[in-house]
Amino acid sequence: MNSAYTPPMQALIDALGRLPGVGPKGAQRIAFHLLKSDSVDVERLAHSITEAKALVRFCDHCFNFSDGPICRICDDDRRDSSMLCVVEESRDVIAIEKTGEFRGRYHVLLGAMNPLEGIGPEQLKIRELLARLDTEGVKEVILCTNPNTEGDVTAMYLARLLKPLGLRITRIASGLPVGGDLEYADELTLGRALEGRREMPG
Amino acid sequence: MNQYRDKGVVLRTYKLGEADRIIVIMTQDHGKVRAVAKGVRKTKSKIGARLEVLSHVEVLLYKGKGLDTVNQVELIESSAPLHADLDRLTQGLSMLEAVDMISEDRQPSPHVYRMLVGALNALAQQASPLVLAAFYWKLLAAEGVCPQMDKCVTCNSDAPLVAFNMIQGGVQCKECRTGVSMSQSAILLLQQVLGGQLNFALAQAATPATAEITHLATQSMEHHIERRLRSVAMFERG
Ligand SMILES: [Zn+2]
Ligand SMILES: [Zn+2]
Repeated sequence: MNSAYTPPMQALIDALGRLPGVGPKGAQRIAFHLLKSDSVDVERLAHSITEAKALVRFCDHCFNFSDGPICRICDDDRRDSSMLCVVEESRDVIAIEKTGEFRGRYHVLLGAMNPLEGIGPEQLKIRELLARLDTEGVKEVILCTNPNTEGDVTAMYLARLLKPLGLRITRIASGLPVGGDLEYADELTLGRALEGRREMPG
Repeated sequence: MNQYRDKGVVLRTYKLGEADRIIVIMTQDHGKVRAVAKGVRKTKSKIGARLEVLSHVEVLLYKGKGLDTVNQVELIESSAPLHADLDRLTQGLSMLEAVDMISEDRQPSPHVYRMLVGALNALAQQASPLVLAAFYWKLLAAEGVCPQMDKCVTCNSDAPLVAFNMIQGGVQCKECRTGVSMSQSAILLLQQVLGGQLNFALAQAATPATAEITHLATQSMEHHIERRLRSVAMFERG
């Protein structure tokens, strides 16, 4: 394919197009925007990317984003080590932390199993999870994977793997969005919410 | 008519942009169709959940130059029973992967659609050790590569059968044997699967023979599509 752009412009569009959620048209739009912007702003953006890449890393323990070898949460001894919440990505840790409901610790898998894409357990931080269960006095593992096919495979695989260890294994309930009307929920969400119902205090 | 209605099973989904998805769906009348489902990754989208892989749906599609667009989705059969059990879910995904591999875009193949719906229903109703293997064998047969199971594929004699040769596509006698060895009970079971006694075969408990047939089915399917089945590799070969 013959490109209508100069090589540096094409290289920029290609690089942007590889970002998640950016299609070819979006990549073009961002590239044009950058080239029209003030060079100071562009420098600042380039700098924050290189700096974040250099300074932010994964926690050695839980694989959450961290600015040191051990993240803020793993380092906090007020957290309850007996409860371990397993999530797919760092952004899920942030989401759960925002609820203020969970005082245990986390383990980030850095992805989910996807049989159709050939992404299996060995590509995720599962071996590291098992090693932690041995040493940290975990009593309950809460599986907080996404309520989709990849999340289901990952949660059921982990449940099967961890059950023989004699721990309590739970999975986050998937239910109805707060503020929504029951009649507007899709049947699968509604079905899961019914399945995950709980006793009402009298 | 730019708009059409069809039934289908969702084979694959890919993220597109911020909130959209590309859906690959095996339809009854229009073959394998790729379509964009707009906005379905937003929490409020009602049709997003209906477009998970394995869902059996009725869709209204709008024909596009490249990809079609999904306009309405109604659930025919929920994939919830399959999503609630690891073995059923992975076997279901392995069915989807094979159908995706053997099907050409927009090539009507109503029999493949029907076989897939039937196999997924069987899988949802009862866990049978042979349900995936039987589906693969039936699919291969429908593709015109049904193995010869009644007499030796090499010499055509009625001599006792002891092996299976994937390249030649059938069982072999002791004299001709070049393929892998196959037990008497596995030969009998595969004859039943392909010879109109499918329900009887599906009711069998797990035995070394069912494992043998499952392994051969995967190998034969991979031989036919000329690549490995990723979803099978993950769980069968550890
Ligand atoms: Zn940490
Ligand atoms: Zn022979």
